[in-house]
Amino acid sequence: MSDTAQSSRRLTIKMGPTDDVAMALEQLRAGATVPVESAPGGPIVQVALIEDIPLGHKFALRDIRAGERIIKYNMEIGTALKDIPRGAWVGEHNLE
Amino acid sequence: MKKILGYQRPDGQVGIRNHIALVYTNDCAKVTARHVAAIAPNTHVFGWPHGCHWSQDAFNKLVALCSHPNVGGAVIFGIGCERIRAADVAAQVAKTGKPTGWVNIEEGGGTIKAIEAGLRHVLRITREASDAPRVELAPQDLILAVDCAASDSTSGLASNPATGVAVDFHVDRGAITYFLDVPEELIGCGDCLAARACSHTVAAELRKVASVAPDDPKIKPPYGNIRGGITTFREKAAGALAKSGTRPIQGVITDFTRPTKGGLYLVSAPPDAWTNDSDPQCVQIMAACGAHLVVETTGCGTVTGGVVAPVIKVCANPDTCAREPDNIDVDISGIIKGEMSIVDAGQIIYDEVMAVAAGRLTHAEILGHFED
Repeated sequence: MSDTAQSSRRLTIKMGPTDDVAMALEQLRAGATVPVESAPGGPIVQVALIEDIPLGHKFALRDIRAGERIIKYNMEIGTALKDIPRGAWVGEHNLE
Repeated sequence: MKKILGYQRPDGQVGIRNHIALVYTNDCAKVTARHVAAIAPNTHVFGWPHGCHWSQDAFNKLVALCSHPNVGGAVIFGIGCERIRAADVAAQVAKTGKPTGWVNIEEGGGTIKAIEAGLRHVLRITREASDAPRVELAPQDLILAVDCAASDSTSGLASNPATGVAVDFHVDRGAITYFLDVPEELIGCGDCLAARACSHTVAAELRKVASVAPDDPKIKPPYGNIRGGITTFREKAAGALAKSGTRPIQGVITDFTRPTKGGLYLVSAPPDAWTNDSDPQCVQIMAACGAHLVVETTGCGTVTGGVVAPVIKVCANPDTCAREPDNIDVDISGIIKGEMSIVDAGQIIYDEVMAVAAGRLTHAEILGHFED
């Protein structure tokens, strides 16, 4: 497996190159380190998950401060309700 | 690719189905229309399930649906005392040259006589519609519409982007293609839409439509969306917009007239044309604008179809596809499983569009899902 390739089964997907979050393509567990393709055909970034991420749900790709806008699909989808560390689950509890 | 052999109507339009429509102009005529449908197979009932008052948008929608090239003929049922008169609807539809009839239930003598009169119209109209010449419909003359229904996170990350690929294929042929988003599905999308507009005028129209729904972070999406991973309406809107592909947007359709120029259009129906902001209603609105068929992406697994335009269900959620295979036409859960690319999935969707146009029946049609 090369440095720039994901494993044979893709685990995550990032919708836009400037996004703050990526999504889990299967149930992911806290403690796992998962590859994220930062842009189509671009370099792979490894992200350590600090919480379980359900299928289809989001996790943070960077430390996000409370009150910051969160980008997905290259557009603002809402605001962080509290500080969200990199690798944390992003959902109704911390995004509005 | 199989040729699309369509049904030619007297006004020259070509449809991909040959439906006989039984239309009720208000709530009081609905049961009579359904009684006729119960006796005569191959008829499809739709109408305006409201009261007596006039609605220009409702009148226009009923005329547009009956005038649709997928409809071979129509019988209009009215109770007799409402403002949307069955005779008036029938007169407008008759201008297309297709066979029509109308029944006034009160003047005609009540339920039994109305059923009898309706059936005689059905007999005459169906015979004539079944003689419609069969002519080839060029793919670029097929009007495709796309919609999302019962979305979850897989809609925004897989089935909508894949549908967007299919939309790009079709728009590149020069065909008219519609995407529909209700106002809540356009929250926060003004800039994205305007950037794709073919002109400043269209950009302004798109921004206006995108600003209709309140952009209030306190308003939450439905439970099914949250459970599926969609947290805000803005996120839902961004995921929904992915089904429109990447090509320029030629305009916003706000009534039921078909554009003359090919390309991609946002359908934003007049508010009084809706009876309920539901998925079957979205399909019906796009059919009223002339869509021959509709691709509907679903995450949670909706089962609905449409009365005039067939509905192709596309799903990328592996659980839903395994749980509801009877209702899903195109299973692209391979994207989520990491086995299929979004582009490949888009081609599979487009192949299904062409097959359904050429006569393949959708799951919804076979199972009788002709939701009004």
